[in-house]
Amino acid sequence: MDERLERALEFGNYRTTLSNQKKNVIARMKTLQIVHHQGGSFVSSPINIGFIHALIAAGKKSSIVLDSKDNPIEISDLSEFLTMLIESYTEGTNEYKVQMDKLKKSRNIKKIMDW
Amino acid sequence: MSEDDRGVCMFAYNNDKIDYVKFAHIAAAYVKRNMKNNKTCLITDNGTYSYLQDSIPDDVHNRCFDTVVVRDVNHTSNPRRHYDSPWTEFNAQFSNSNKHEIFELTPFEQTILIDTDYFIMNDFYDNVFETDHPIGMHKYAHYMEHQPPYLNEQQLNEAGIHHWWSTVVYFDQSYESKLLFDMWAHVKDNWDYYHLLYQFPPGLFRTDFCVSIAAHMMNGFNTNEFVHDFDRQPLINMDQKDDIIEVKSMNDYIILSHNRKETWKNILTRHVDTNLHLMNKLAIARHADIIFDNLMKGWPE
Repeated sequence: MDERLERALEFGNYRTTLSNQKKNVIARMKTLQIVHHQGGSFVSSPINIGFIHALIAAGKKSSIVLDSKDNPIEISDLSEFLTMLIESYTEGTNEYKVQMDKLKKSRNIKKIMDW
Repeated sequence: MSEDDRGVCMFAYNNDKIDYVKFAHIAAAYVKRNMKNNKTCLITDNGTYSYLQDSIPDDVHNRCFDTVVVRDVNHTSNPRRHYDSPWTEFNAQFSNSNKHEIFELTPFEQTILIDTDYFIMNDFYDNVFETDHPIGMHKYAHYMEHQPPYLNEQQLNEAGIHHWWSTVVYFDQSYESKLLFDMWAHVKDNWDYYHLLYQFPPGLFRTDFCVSIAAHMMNGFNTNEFVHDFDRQPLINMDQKDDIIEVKSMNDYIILSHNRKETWKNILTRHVDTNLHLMNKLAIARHADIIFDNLMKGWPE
């Protein structure tokens, strides 16, 4: 095979592999950012974190909050819930950053696979 | 509800080609290593149980399973074509006719039923025990390169109802859960009628189709959300034509993904801390020893 073609094909495979790995890392982060609390399912998104923070700033100790499926969930302790959301958000993004940094340094398929 | 009332069950019935009971021990060890609610129960028959006693050391078996239910079942013939990579195929009996009986057989109040080729590599499913949902199953899935499932794994027919996966079924002992399993049994008993009504191929008895019909009814013949879909998290499938290349550590798998449309293409994928449905059974069998070794490493007595 022409060496130029061989190198291009190898690079194409590397980019496909890298793209799949990025999707895997993002999927893992999203899984880590799911929070179950008081029977509801929430995502620890910046929007949810900001909203709960706003409720606390407005003097609320407890509140009804809609979960990911629009179910009304009574959150009895907003501060505790905010802590959970922030921990989950941080855990997910930390893992995302660590894995993405590793991927950025992996310039070929063997590096991605740690071979 | 205490952790003793929550657990994971699996069925294993060996055939002459596939050692499901070995896979069950691997799947159970993954539950033990990665989940907090990690009581386990194996449901099997006398023949498979005798084989288990000869083939699995007692200490490994006792660490993997808290309960074993042995009950003989008269399995109807249900031959299934399996692939091991794109180049090898074989037929083997697929004994899944009594899966719906889990509602009566489980020793737990809250149960997750998993297939023995489903390896739990994180604690995601612990969450479901904290919810109020009576039933949960995966509604969505993708393959190793995030490809969508085959059309008949998205809908029962081209204009049909949504496909649900019976690979992981969460349920409690509620009236609603009982309804689901009774409906599952009813579809099984009237397979010829339901395959015509829902227009799916009748050849292979698939429990996915039973739960899809039951979920469709329980969701009010609609797409509402009575049946929990595990927060829209997809089931991650390794196709039978994919292959395990290396098991790097307990929760770190390198898998060769076979491109179904451009069959000359194969791409390496790596999955860390990700729950995997490994459909290529012989690939699991080839790596079973190293998988066991990894599971045993650092597992406190």
